[in-house]
Amino acid sequence: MQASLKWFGSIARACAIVGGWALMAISVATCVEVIGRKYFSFSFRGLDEIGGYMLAGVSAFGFAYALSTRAHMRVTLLFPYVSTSVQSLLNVLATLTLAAMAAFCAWRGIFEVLDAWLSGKRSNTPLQTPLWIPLTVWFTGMLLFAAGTIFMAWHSLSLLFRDRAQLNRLYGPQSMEEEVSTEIGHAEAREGRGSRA
Amino acid sequence: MIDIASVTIGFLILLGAMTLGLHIATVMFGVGFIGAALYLGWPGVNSMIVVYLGSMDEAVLLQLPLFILLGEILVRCGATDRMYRSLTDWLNRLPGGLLHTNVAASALFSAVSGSSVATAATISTVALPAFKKKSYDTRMVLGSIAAGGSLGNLIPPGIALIIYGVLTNTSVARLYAGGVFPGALLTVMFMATIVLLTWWRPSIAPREVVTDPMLVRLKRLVDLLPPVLIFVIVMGSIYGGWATSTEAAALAVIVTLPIAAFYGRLSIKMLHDAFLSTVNLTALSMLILAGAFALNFILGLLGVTAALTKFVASMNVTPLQLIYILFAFYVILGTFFETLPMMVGTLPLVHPLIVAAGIDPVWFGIFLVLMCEISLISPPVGLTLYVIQAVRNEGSIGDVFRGTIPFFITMLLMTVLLIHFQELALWLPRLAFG
Repeated sequence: MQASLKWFGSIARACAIVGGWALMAISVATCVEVIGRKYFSFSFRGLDEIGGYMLAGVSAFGFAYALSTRAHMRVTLLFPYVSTSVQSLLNVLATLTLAAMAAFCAWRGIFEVLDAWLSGKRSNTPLQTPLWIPLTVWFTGMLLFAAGTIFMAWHSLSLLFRDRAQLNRLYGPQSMEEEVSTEIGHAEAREGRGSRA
Repeated sequence: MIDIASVTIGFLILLGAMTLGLHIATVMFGVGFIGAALYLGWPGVNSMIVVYLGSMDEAVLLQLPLFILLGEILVRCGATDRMYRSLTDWLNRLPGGLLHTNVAASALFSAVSGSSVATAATISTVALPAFKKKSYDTRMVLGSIAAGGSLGNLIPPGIALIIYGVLTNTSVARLYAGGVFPGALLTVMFMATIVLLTWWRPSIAPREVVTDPMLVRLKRLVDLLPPVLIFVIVMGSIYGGWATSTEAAALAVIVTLPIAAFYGRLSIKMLHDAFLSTVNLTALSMLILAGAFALNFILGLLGVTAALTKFVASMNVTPLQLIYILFAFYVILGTFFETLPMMVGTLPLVHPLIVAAGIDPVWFGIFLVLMCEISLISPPVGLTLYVIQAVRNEGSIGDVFRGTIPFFITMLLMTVLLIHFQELALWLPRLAFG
């Protein structure tokens, strides 16, 4: 179980890094575009369209990555005031609803991709992008996200009857302490200081 | 179509489900879904999904990851302590000394980083050791860092302004222009707060003016360049009219690379770390935003805007009264909620409301961001405060809470000023864009 979670995490992490390079690439292209337009009356045309596709791809794979880092935001207001068993129920409810949403979107995504594939639809822009290309990338990300949420929903549900402490640890919202120590870890790493004594 | 009672129930369900700890993204999507299914049936659900999925490749939203990325790279350049040093050179003559440096460094840093929490973490890591051997009032030290960090979203470019702009279809460039004066004014007001408190109680800050020779200080000014450069590139390219706000973000991302190289921090590992944080933050925001778009769309179809307009007309409140009601509402909500849920959770209802009342959307964007900043430093839920306390690693969180009180009051004062002198936020956008 834990091993599969780890696997999922490292796949999503690799995808996120690729996404980062994609953002870098679009930044370079945009610089060329802006300078070209200003001084050489030259333009790529349709760069913003590609930017849109890129955003969708980065987001879809990013959903999966943020899932693996437990970053998807939840309000933790109630948690300190309820017992751990109520907490575990709320956690299961959260993973189940998230999985339901992700699965629904992935299911809808199938039709979008199939439609684009079968009809050979192109974007209604000067670029005339064959839509199956960006849609397939986006859909793969959504599929990864859906697979992750479904796995976690099932795992949390099974933990509900076996090990609630583990359930709350794995699927509870990030506690204030965790978030704080992550932020400080980042800041210290950035400023090149060791961990506090 | 829909009456105001059902709208209120829907809104309470939304807040209730969020409080139960469901994912914010699921709640936004779910409430839209239920509303569509109940009132419009399957066709409604269908068109909502089209909007939901379509919002993910919205080209204007590309500026969100780009601005996050530029901040992530810049904070990893490790130049913060030098920046802090250079600001100290010029600010330590003011009564309050290093306390001003806290505010100014945070303001400068957060202007480009876009994240108040990251700003607070970085500045306190750099600043707190500097205070170790000095006899400053601890609470004021902590309070000034927290207050400075909260300037982040108001001074452009900021992530909160992008999210507001995209969600409400308000020009991000106008919002940036709108944030300049209120951001600068609030910085000055924070500094004035420190000066006044120091006059009132001189024990807060020791008078010790050690100045290095002018030449040394001038040389160190170089360390202030990176954030200033980014600010100038972004604002200059937008207002020079040769780049959109998305393009400006892309330009700034590229400019951070030579800066990182200059400080010897440019490496594949550093970039990958920056990518991971960027994708993480982008994804969690995008999932929530897509839900907010879908919910907005459904509320439009259901005629909520019309219902709210009628409601406002029947209530007989003046725009000014409405603003004060929202002011109180947001300050209370802000003590419990973080910035992003507070914004996306309320905007679908509040935005039509203010438009109906004839309030300028650009002005309201600045107002709302100020409300978010207040929520960041109002206990008991304010991540910034806990981050500062954890870096400090001694004493109690109560010191941080008490230290922010003067600045909290200053922010309330600023809000009142903004409410009564709306030109503060509207003059520059009008000058720049007509």
